[in-house]
Amino acid sequence: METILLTEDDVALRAQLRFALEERFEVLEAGDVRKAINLLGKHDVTLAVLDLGLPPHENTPDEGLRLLHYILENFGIKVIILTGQKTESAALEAIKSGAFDYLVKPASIEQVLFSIDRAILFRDTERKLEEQGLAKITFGIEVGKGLQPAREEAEKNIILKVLKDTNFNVYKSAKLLGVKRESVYYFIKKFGFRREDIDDNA
Amino acid sequence: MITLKLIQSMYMFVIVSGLMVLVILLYLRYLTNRAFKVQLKMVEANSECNYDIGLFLPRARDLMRKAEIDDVFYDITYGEKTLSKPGPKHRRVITRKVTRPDYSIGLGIVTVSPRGYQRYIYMIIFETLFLLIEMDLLMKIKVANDALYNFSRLQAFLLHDVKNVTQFIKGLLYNIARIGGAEREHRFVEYLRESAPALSVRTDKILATLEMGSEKEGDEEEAEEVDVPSMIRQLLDLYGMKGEVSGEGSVFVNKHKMVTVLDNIIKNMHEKSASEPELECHASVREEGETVTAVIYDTGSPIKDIDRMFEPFFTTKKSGLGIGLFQAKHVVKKFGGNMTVANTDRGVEFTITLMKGAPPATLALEQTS
Repeated sequence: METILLTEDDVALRAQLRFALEERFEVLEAGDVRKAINLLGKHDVTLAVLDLGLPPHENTPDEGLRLLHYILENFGIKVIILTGQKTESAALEAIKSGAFDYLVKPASIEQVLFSIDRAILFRDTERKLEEQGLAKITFGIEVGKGLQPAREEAEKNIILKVLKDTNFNVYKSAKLLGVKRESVYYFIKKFGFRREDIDDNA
Repeated sequence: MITLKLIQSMYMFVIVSGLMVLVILLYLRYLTNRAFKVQLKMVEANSECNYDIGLFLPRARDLMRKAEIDDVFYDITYGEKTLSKPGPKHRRVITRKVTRPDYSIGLGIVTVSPRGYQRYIYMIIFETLFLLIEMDLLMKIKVANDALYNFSRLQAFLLHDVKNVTQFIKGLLYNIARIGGAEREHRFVEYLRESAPALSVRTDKILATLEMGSEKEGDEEEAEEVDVPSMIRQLLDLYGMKGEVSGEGSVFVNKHKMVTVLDNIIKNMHEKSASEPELECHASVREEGETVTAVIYDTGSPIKDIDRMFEPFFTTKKSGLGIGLFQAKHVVKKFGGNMTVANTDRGVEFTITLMKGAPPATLALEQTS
């Protein structure tokens, strides 16, 4: 069964969401960032539904975005934002950071469930593709700046992913990438990758 | 002999020259005095007109006539408003035009006297008028901007709460249609029971914010007996705050408003506990004769600018609105009580003093029967 982390500071609303979700999923509840991080450390969370306006700053998206970054960097699970923060900048920042979906309150429960199902479908499909050797890498580029930065960003992401998968084994990475070991060393130096950083994020 | 004659003939000349200088000095003194008086009267008139340029300008014109300034003309634009009075083409005038992002001022005066030494006096009066107009405009723009800014913040706060309540209702409607078996039904009721206090506090807060400032004198309020310590305890539980509540005391007030008062205090402490995890919140309630005093204090760090805590829209939090405690004090005052806050040795301490009040007539009747 999927384990969903539901981070929402409104107790009443959280209870209703929980009731709607717990028929199909195991639901963990958090009212603030600290509790959410605590639960993420203790349980094998597979998906997160996240409010952006969290205490002590319920009226800005800052706390929610902080948690979003933390989840994506450390757990790489799909995150669905369900928030009253309708500002364009918050939506932009969340999506740019890698949120799977951005639902604005009041959203229907059907919408929330639909988004969760799609997130699971996407995650499973990505996993299957990965097993077949196809990895989906997302990265942001500024189109106006030409192809070179895009090429470098793609290169950087692919190499970083392979290094992560091989636990920083240069020999295996070179083999997977179909390049010489020297080239892998060159990229490591060029992009400034460090084993500690990769281990921290893993 | 010759010297004596010279002195005799010069004597009259010196006296006449001295008298002339005295007359000129007295005349200049008269002119400057008149100008200063006009200046002072202009400042007073501006305040009497409540800093409204539209009212002030005609009065300024009348006053300036006393200083031989024949007329004032202007072209002032701010916001969507324009005040304009065109000036003469071929007369003696002093003019200035200033254009800033929020406003523009074009000002001119028509002087009567062409004499050079008067010019400085005209300039002083002209500059005073210009400064007064600019000050009035800036004040108006600032007040309008502040009001708009505060209104938009207030709206954002209300929106956050209202969206959550609407989202709750959407969830409720969805779930009611899909309750299923007895076990789910039992759980559903359990969840609702858990949610009720939070929901009630939230709706009370929305109502109190919307009603703030719209109460009329003599509005009949539904008063009921409120057990102060138990209400504090409920709120501490709601926010999951550590702390003890001692003493006894109850008041007859509007319960929803009383919740808002205590919620604003305890919520503040709860938010503070995010950065001070060891923070506890204690309270003691005392009933003495006709007054009930509740002291609520935290065990956290002192608050800077504590004297400004009840000021509307004053906040130390990045995302705060600064309306909560202002609202709390406003309600307490409406109840006929008082509320203070201070940094003490044990922490930040709020003291609420309330009149016990009387039960409403219907309730009193029920109790006696």
